[in-house]
Amino acid sequence: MLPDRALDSMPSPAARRVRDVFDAMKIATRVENKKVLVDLAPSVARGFLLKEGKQGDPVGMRASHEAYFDFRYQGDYPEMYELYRRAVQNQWDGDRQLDWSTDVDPRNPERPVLPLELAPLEGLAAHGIRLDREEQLRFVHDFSCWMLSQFMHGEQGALYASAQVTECVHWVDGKFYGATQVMDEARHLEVFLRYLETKLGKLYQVNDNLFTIMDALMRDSRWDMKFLGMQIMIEGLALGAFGTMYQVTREPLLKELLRYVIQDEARHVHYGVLALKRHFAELDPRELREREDWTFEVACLMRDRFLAHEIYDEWFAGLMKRSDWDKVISGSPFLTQFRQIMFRRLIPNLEYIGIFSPRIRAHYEKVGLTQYAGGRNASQLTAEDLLAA
Amino acid sequence: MPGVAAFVRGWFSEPAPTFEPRKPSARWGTSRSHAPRKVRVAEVIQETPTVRSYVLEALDADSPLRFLAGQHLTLLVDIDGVRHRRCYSFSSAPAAGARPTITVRRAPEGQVSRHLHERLRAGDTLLAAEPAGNFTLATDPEASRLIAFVAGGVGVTPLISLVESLLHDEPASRAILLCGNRSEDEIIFRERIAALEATFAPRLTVRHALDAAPAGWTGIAGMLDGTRVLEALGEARADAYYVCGPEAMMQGVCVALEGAGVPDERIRTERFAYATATTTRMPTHAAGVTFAASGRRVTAQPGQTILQAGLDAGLDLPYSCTMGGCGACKVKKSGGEVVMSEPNCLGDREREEGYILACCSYADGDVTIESH
Repeated sequence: MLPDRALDSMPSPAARRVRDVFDAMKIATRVENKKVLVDLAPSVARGFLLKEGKQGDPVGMRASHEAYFDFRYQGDYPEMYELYRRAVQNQWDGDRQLDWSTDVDPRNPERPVLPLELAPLEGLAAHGIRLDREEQLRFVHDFSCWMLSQFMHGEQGALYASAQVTECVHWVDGKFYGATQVMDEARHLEVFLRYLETKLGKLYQVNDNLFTIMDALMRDSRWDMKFLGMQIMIEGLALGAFGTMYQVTREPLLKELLRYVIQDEARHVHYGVLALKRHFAELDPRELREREDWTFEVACLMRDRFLAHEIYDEWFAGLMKRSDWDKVISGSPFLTQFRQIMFRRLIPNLEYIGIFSPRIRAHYEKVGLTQYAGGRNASQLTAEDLLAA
Repeated sequence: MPGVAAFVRGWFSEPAPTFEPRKPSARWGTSRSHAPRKVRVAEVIQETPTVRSYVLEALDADSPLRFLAGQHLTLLVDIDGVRHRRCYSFSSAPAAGARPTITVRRAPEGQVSRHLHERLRAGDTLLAAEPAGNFTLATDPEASRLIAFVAGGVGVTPLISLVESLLHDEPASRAILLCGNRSEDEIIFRERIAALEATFAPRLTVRHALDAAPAGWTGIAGMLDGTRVLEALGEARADAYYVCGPEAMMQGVCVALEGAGVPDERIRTERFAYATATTTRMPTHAAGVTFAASGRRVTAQPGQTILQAGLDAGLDLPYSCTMGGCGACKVKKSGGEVVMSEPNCLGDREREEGYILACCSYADGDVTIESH
């Protein structure tokens, strides 16, 4: 437990750094599987301690995987080929099919990007922070920019990771499909960036948790870990996050943008599920256990990513303790709904691909994430289901 | 390692803000796509009792409305919460230094043209896609050629733009312009054409035809059909023939020209249709389209897509790009035959299952659609 009183007596830059160190240590001590700890530790250090994503400079992430060539073109996977055909036929053009002439006023209460009632205003008031109407609208605007910025950073990661996955996947049909996903991710990055630049006018830096996950999976040499990290975890959770945003936003351009993106994402997760279901069935228990543990850690990182510490730093640092902010934001109506939908999408997929054993289930129980077990997995969900959330 | 240095620095100084105010990049909206833009109506000109021209100007001076003679502009018009897309040809010629102008005939059943005539005033703004269309003429100042232009009614719109372009840009070339209208008061651009004749004589020859010619009329008496076009052209052998007007008139003129030995590649036509008509064969007869779910039966005129026919009849059909690219207008056909513009986004399986794209399908005989 971080001693808040001790931090209060420190100069704020030092207190901030102590918190970073504690955050990194918290993750390190939570990880029981030493192999997973060794895998994740460098990325945690780069994300939480060195803050490589927040230095304003381009970041290099050295890849160490093998491009998998098969000059005999063996290994049919008809289901994956079918997915590829569907992807080819459903390509869309973000420039042409979205109405970029739509006037977006982020502070228009009639068509909010995020409705005001979902903001944690009561929680803030309980800690003596009362925002007037103008501040409330500005806060929601900033939170929307933050959220969409993280979506966008995740899409940048997805673009490079999907290219890597295309190189190292073992089925020719998987390579066909992977190429369509690379195009999808480029389009997603394009539309989120365009929306942020031309409609909201503010970009946030990448969140430490998200940076850590992307760093870990970009550098991992094992193709199935990339799949697991990208297709199941990041894409799966993004799907839930986009679905929530789609449900609550009343801004028509963003709603339409998300509708297109969600339809692509549904395919991406399905691809990951198809590939890993077959592959995991062939792994020995030790390898499977390592993947279970890795996935659990990434799930926790993803959950904590939504604590929005960048927003805390901008708005409330010095006005309230960060531990209090964590409670306020975690309990906000928006984040509660967000978490529910995200994990309702993720957990059934983990069950389906075979990495949700009774042993790891106990870990998820401890952090309150097992209530979503038993739901429908990606192979059973349509894009319409996902839009209906 | 910059990260390590920043980590050490971070113990003693406040970090940089975690956000950045961002201005739009110059890359957005620069592609030759159909991303809509806003244009302002600078002037409204009443050409005839049923035809108006709208002079347009770009809202953003840095991004003028660039077009070629013969191209059209797709307007996105919101009426009662529903967005309609309609294409209107430019009637002005960039070569003549004129401002971008579109000309719209008020069609009795045309929801959008009626709306524009009744509501649109100078100073209003419109949403429009980028100018598009291939009914254009590549001019060459060194060329010396004869081009014949055959216009029926409002079909003169792109043609006058092309005529002006030719006369301005090719000093040694000549033009013949044949204009057919129902009556004298419906002759569009009459004074402008007369002024062109005066300015460019003897390089421009103009003949007007009237369906109902009054006594003393010195032009062609009777509807401008294939026979009258051949008579008017006489011995003249043009290097190219540009034809635009009602579908039936165009068909007749094209057949007559081909019968007179004009090679197919010298005949250029422009159809006022929603989708780019790229079918190899366009049905020439009106046909009935039945929408089984509602039991509504509408008539699709030659050259009119099933989507256009349905929308004109007030049916609430889904659509988006109207160019066969998005699949929003996909409907299942349970009877009859259609001719569909190609290529389009319909998959093989969908075709086998009987789906068509309403925006680029033309009824070839009576057709039944399962839905709506």
